[in-house]
Amino acid sequence: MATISHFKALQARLRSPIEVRFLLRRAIGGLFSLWGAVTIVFLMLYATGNPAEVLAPETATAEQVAELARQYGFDQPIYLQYRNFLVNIMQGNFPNSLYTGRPAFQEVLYRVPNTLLLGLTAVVLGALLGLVVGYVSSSGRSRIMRVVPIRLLMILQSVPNFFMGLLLIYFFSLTLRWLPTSGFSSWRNLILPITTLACYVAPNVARLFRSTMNEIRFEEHIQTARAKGISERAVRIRHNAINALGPVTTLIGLQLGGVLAGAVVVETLFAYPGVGQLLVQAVVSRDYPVALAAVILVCLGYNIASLLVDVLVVIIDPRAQKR
Amino acid sequence: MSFLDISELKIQILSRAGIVHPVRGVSLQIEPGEALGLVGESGCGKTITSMAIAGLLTPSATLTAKRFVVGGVDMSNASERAWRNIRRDSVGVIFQNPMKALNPRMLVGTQLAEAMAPKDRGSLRASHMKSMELLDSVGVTQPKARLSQYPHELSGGLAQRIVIAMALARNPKLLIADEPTTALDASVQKQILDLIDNLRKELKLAVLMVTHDLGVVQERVDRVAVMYAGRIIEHGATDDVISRSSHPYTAALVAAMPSIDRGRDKPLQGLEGLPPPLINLPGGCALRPRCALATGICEQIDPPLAFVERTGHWAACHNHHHGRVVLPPVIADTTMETVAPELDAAAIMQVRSITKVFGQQRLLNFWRGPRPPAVKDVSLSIAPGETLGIVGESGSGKTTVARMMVGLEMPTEGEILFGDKPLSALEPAEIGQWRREVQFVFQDSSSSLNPRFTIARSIEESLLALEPDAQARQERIRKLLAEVGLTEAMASRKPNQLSGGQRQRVGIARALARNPKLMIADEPVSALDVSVQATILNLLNRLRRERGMSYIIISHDLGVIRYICDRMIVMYRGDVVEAGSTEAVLQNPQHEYTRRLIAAAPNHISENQRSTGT
Ligand code: SF4
Repeated sequence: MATISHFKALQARLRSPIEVRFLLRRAIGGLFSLWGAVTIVFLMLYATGNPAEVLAPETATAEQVAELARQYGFDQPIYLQYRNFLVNIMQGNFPNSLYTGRPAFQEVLYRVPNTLLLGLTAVVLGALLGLVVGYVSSSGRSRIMRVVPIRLLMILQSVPNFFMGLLLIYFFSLTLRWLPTSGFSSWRNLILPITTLACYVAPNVARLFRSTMNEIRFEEHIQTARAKGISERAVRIRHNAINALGPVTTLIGLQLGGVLAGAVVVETLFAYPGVGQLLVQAVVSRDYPVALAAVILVCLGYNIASLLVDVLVVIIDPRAQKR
Repeated sequence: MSFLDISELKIQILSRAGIVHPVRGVSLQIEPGEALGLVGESGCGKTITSMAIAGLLTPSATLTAKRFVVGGVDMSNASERAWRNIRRDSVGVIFQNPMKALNPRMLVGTQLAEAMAPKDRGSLRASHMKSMELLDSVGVTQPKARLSQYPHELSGGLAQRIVIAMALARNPKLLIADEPTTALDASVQKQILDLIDNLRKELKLAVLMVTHDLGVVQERVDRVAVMYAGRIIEHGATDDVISRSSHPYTAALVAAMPSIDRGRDKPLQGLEGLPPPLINLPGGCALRPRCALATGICEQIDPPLAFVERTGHWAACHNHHHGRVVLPPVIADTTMETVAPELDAAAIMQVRSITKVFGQQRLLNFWRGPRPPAVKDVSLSIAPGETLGIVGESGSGKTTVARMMVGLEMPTEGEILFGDKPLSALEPAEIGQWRREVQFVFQDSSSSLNPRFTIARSIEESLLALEPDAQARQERIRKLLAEVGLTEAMASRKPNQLSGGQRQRVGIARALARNPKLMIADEPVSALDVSVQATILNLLNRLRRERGMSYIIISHDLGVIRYICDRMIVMYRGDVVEAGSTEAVLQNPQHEYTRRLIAAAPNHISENQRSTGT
């Protein structure tokens, strides 16, 4: 594949595909959507009634509740509350967790690496698996290669997340006793949750990749490439496969949202100490500062990820930044 | 020895409905330095023939040939690898749409390097040198800057030059050009054809030029082969074939071609119908259902390609003994009786110095600065019974003007009058009248027809407000279909079951449903084959005579304008650069741009060639 790196070098030498203006525009867009998400969270908190009542112990008198409300500023008019809310978030200034007493943000940040490790590994592995299977099912030499792997993946897809996890636990942990069921003590704890999540990502990627590749297979520019007399393999990889990556990358970006949601389920199932599990615990125990911090961090993470995805899409198809 | 020598080429495609035979025995030879034109309507098998010569058939197609020699190598049973070597060493291909033929995600320089021989791209420096050399040879300006551009940043003409440079990168001996200019503006077309011509002479290339337009091949190629239904039906020296056609199909193609030196007094002759589907073809001549000269024998025997003494070239028709084919005169219906426009009557619509600037409202647009206006200070008016043509290339603002006249866009400045009132001041009842009396016909009716509705239903929608009675509505639909030359059987079809020409008729019928006084048509025939184009143009002329309607016809084709319009205006980059009667503008153009347009118009068959010859 010496030629491929040669072309890459040439392409990079000639011009970088990303324009600063595009990044700027996209980042501004991201800030807006983050602001939107935060505002929605605020409105929902506001709409569910006086948070002081939730915060106060059940035996508290009306005066105690009112006192608590004043302490947190819940008695102020909505626009002031909203302003304080935004200012606090921007300063990373959250009330302490109602349970551990530590700052809520810290509580969440502490777990972010765990979730990143789980989520990113799962997405990367799932996407890789999906890409390989998709490529093989579109360009494989024999019919068996084209048909069997993708069928297998499709079967996986029809199994829901939590059920998949249970199956894996039953098989690998309880029956074979190869892997631990839960906890967070060694890398072996990661295998099952990652597999579960990757199984969610791979089939979609494989299917879209295959159909996009097949769709553009005889398009004029790919026929032009063939007309140049380069090898069919180079045509398939450099022109067909890489050109089909655009929609797939967008899909992977969308799947990130799904993976975050899936992480909530999977982390709970495998008792994995990530943000998802924390969020569930916080909601169940009404630890509202922690829940809020978790939601905001998840939004932030999702936005950064989708910005990265958009940049990737532009690298793959430079027309994308022209709208 | 011929560089390309094919005999009895047949191609089969396995499809769900059965075996399709897009090519049914084609024989071709091309010498080095010679150009051969392959001409025919879409669906006649010319493109697939050319792709077969480059070994670029899709896997579902299989090919057989008695002889298939490319550059001295027998390719009749060649492996994929052998084909690749042929493509690498001796064949270059130019595709129809240059924008699609370049990989959108790769820089021009990268794609050029990919096409080079390994020795030329041994190092970045070497490939750079070679790229510059190639771009220079195809006349690309600022070659260095182009290397680091993406295809979507180039104009169509530039992109086509780059595709040609790519095809030349390995010094091919045969150049296959599949409709190389169809997607380009007229002035660019000429340049590209000239370029191919020069390269052929300089490099002694054998050229196969595939096109639907006889005007393109005239003067450019030495010999032409006309294809119909997967076979070559006429073959010979280009001028001979065009001026002394020995086959009714070729004669019809010639007679269907609008041209800037062809007035409307000489009616165009269309060829009704479609090429047959190439599946389970019945015996006999494939043209029979559309042929005006068909006789009994045509049903029995498919005529072989035979040498015609009198015209000195080859033709496949039972009637060739007479030499040049004389088609029966056009049916009276299509002849033009010019209605004198009522010039003194009040104008139907007037446009008073309108300007349109796009994209000002955009929110995050502050760093771009003001955009140039798409339309600058344009004025025009249209009287009852008059036809006005608007000419210009893509981006000249001609479509924007039309869209503003029917309210699809709002002018940024200036006003548009319906009758004597500005559009903005119309009463609700008058708005209804305007919507009814001014109708718009799109370039491609398939995108404006609801794909789930039958034709009758699509037309009925336009009638609902005018004709409350369902019975009467059906009656009107029948009449309208007949008026645009569609049979009643069409009424129950869906748009995708119709041909392009039939869909365009439906679009016209739908516009007619409201009894308009003015019909504005945006490139009404540019998506159609020449033969079908002629039938639509004749239809428009007939409707005009029968109904006394006015037209505004937007077109990039001066021949079309010449054939239909009394007056014309020429637009260039948003400005009207010339206006006047069609005759006057074409005979005596004042503006530099108009002169360029006329000079660049594909040299269609001139009058004396049509009428002389024996
Ligand atoms: S053989 Fe008969 S049907 Fe065919 S083109 Fe000649 S006259 Fe027409």
